[in-house]
Amino acid sequence: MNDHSPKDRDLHDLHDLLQDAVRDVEPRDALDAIRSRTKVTPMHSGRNWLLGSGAAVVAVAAVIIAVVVLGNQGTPQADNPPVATSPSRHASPSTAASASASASAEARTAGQETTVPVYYPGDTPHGVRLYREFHQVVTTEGLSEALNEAVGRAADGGPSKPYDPDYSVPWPSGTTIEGVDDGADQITVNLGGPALAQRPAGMSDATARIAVQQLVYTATAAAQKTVPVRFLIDGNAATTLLGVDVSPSVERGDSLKVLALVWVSSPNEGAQVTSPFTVTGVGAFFEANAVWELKQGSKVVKHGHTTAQECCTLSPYSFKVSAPPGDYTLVVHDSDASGTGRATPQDTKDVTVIKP
Amino acid sequence: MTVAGTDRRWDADTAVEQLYAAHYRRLVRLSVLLVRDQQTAEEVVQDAFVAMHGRWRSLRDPDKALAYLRQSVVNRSRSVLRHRGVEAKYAPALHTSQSHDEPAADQPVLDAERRTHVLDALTRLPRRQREVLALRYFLDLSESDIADTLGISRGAVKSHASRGSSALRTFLEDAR
Repeated sequence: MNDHSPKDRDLHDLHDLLQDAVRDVEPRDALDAIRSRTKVTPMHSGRNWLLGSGAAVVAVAAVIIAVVVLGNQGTPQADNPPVATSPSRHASPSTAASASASASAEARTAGQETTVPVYYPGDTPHGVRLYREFHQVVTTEGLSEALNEAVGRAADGGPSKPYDPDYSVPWPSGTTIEGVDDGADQITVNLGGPALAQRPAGMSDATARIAVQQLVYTATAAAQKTVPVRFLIDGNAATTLLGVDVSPSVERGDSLKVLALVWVSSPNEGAQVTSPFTVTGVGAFFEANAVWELKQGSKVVKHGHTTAQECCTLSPYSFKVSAPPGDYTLVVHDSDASGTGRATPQDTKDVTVIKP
Repeated sequence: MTVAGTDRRWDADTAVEQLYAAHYRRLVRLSVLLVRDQQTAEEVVQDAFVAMHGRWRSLRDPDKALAYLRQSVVNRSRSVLRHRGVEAKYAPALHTSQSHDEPAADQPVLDAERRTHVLDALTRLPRRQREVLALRYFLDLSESDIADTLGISRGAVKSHASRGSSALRTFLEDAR
């Protein structure tokens, strides 16, 4: 390859060189290994509920227990991933053991996956509020990867989006998490990206505030401690972030003002479930009355209501739904929707009921 | 939300089987170009297939699924490199070809050397340049597909490709 090679010759060479460089790479057959990981993995990453017969009962019971435990702690937004109820894969014993541990607690070897809580803004009748998803990331550092997901970068540097299309990433494209210090008394998050101090044109003040809270909630959730979060921009202490005052640090805002008032925690958006399936979530419902509908298009196929554990504060609920196989939209909302036509807080999830 | 007809549509398991049969080896080879090490590459691609299975319902379409796999393999390869750290990056990686316990004929040795040179030279490139070269010259993707896969502009694809190919050429000449 000489410098005076014609350009097309050059391209031809590069093509041949790269093809040739890996010509002798013959991977071992891995279809069975992949299948064993995709087969019956209840709540694998929360994305995909393929509940097998026996496992289903155990898994559903585990979810209910988990929710009850959260409820008893009085922190319905407690951020233990649902994966705690079952190992997401069988690759190594440490994966199962670490699944319920703090997302940032211990180093994991590259290639292993862990589940982290990530908050995303979504529209509600009360304005933009935060919802939570659990994301599975390949990582050794759950805290920084959770924050990366929150600003729209996948654990591995590519673009990332919330699963639920109703949620969004408020951060300007190109925002990165350059570093995180998980200190005893505060978490320091070093952000990189274009002009983060100022509020971008077209972003409302409310959205900017929620975006800052999104990172505070995600950081404290992933680190599993409620401490203030200090922000740096490109290594320097930030006084403002998206035009919001963040000096010297920011604490979790009042959950009733920051969080969406109704969440469906599971099944996740796009989940496949077998009938009957259990829906769990948290919500602040009028008279603790949670109303749900299972829809196909605009047609309501099933509906019902259930009672959350407590009224008027974010409190766990759960109910079971039976439906024939098919694609559905599940809607859970507050009760005073009926009659008034007024928009009420709600969360929706597309789910597919599959044959057992 | 759509309630599409289910006939003719793959389920997630079928998608994994079909795409595995058609693309597994090629994706592992792609990852080897990025991470150098075959075993790591195999893990990366397996993870990508598992993730694709989980996302099948939102992908639904084989082309989209393949695009997702490509993107996932590139991103996961990058992640592995990042976590492996700088010191391992230049350490002698597991050689991708079969070990030659017995003396081989000259030609295979020369082949193996040439391949090693190319893979080594690739590891010396900045990450983006390596990714763009691999997608362009190994997978033969178009500029706009590369831009989509990497989440960068077509202009950036062009400049990474041009810088990357000239840097790769320089490294390869140095190695002679």
